[in-house]
Amino acid sequence: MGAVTAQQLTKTYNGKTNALESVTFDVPEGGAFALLGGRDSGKSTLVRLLSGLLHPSRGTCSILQLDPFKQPEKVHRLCGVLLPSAKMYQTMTGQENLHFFGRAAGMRMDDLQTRSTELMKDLGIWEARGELVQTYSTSMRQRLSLARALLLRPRVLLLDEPDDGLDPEGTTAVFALLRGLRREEGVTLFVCTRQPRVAQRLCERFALLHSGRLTAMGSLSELSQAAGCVARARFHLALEDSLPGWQDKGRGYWEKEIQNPAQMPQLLREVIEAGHAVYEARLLRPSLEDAYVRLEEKEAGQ
Amino acid sequence: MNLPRPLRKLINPRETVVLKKDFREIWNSAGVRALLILLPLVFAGVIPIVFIVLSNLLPAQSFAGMDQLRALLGEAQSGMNDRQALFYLFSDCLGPMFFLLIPLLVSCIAAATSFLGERQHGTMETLFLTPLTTREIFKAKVIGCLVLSVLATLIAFLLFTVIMIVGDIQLGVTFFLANASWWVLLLLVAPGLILFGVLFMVVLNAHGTGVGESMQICGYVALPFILLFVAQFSGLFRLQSGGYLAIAAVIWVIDLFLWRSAARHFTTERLLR
Repeated sequence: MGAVTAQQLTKTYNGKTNALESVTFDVPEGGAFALLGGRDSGKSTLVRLLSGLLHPSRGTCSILQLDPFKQPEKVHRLCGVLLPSAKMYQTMTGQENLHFFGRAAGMRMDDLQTRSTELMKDLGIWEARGELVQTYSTSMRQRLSLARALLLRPRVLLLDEPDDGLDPEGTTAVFALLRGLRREEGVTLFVCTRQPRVAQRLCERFALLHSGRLTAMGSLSELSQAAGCVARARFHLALEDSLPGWQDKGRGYWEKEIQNPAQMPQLLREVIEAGHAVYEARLLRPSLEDAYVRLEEKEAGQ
Repeated sequence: MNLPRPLRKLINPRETVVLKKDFREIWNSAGVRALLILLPLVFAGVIPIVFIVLSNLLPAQSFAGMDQLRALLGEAQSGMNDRQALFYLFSDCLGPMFFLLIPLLVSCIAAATSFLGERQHGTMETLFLTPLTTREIFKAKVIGCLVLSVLATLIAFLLFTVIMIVGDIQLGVTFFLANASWWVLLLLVAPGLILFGVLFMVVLNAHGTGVGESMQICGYVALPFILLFVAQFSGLFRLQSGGYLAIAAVIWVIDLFLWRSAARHFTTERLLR
C-alpha cells in the first residue's frame, strides 16, 4: 500500500456540488506525484481531505496507512501540509511562529531551535527571523509556511501550490530543499499545482484534475502519448533559406514533428546534404505543459 | 511564565502553548487591550466614583423624585438620609448591572479575538494542521478565555469593593457585601455570564460570523440584561438574592445547551467552510 492513497474519493458540498468525484490514485513511499488542475478543479479540497480537515462524502484516503479523518493528529505528526489558506501569525516574528508550532507539536526546545534555524537558513529567511510576519514579502511568508510544514521532519509532504508567490530566489531555495528531502530522506511528495513546469521539476508521475475528476494519469511520456504530443526537430537556418514540408517558426527557425528521437541524426544529415547551412539543431521533447494544454483542450471540447 | 498548579493539572503542556499564545495575541491587539482595561475601569471604577460624588453633592433638602426612589428601596431605606439612600440605590440596583457587564463583555471580547480572530486571519486552519486534536485546541482556547475573563472580573471586583467601601464609610451606609445578593452575583451569576460569553462566541464562530458582527450581537445580548435592571425603576419588581439565584439558574441552563452546541460545532469541517 502506498504512502498517499485515495480510493473513489468523493466530496460533495451541500449535498449538491461535487468538488471531487471518485478520485483514485496511489503514491508509493518516496515517490513524487503531482496533481495538475486549474482554479476550482478540486486540488485544495483533495489536500484538505488527505490532511483530515474535511470528511469524505464517499470513498477513502490514507496517509502512511492512517485514516486522516479518524487520526488527524497522528497524520499531522508524519505529514507536513502546505495550504495557501493556512496562514502564519502576523503579529509574531518568523522564528516565534516556528517555535509556537513546534512547541504545540510537543518538540523539545533544543531540537526546535536547531531545526528552525536549519530550515530558515535553507529557505533563505534566516536574516528576517526576528521581524514580524506582517512585514514579510509574499515569497518569505510562503517559505516560512513551508518551514512550518517541515518542522517535524515529515515522511510525507502535501503541498498545495508550493510556488505560490515565490520570487526567483525563493523558488530556487524551495525547489532545492524539496528535491534534497526526496533524494536524501526519501520524503514522499504530493504536489498540487496549476503550473506544469513546477510539477515537472519536482515529480515523476502526474495526474490531471478537471472539475473534480481525474482525467489522465501517468508519467510524462504516457501523458504525452495520450495527448498526442510528439517530439519535434528544430533547425535554425539562414534567414533567406527555407525547408519545404517544415513548419516556419520565423527568424530562421523551422520545425517538424518526428515519431522517434532516433530520427534526428538522419534528418540532420539529409538537411545538410540538401545544401542548407544549419546553425543550430535541437530535439524538442514534449513538455508536461504541452501534454497538459492538449489534454485540457480535449477535455474542454468534450 | 508558568501557569498556576491547578491549571497545569487541567491542561497538558501542548495546550498550555496554545493558551499562552492566545493570551499574547489578545494582549498584543491594541484595540482589544484598550477595551479589556477600559471596561472594568469605567464600570467598576469611574461609575461608582461618580455616584459617590453625586451622593455627596446632593442638596441637604429632598429633591423632586427622591420619594419615588426611596419607595423603590422599601424597608431598607428607613432611617437613611437622602444621600445615603441614593448611594444605597446604586449599590443595590445599578451597581450589580454595571459590575455584571464586565464578565459578559470581557468574555465576549476575549473569545471573539481567540476564536473568530484566529479564523478570520486564516491561522485556525494552520492550528488544525498541527498534531493537536480539535478537542485540545477547543479546550485550550476556552480555558484561556475563561481564565482571562475571571482575572479581569476579579480585578474589577477588587477595584469596585475598594471604592464602595470608601463610599460606604464616607456616607455611613451598611457595607455593600453584607447584602446576600452580591455573593450570588459574584459566585453564581458572574461565572455563568463568563461561560455564556465564551460559548456564545464559539457558536457564532461555527456559524461563520465575523468579529465585528459578533461584538454587535454580544451588545444586543447585553441589552435585555440591562433592561432587567433598569426595569426595577418602574417599581414593578426589585431584584434580590432570590431573583439573582433564579437568573443564575437560567444562565447556567443556557450555558449547558451552549456547551453542547459549541463542542458539537467546533469541527474542522464546519470551521473551514
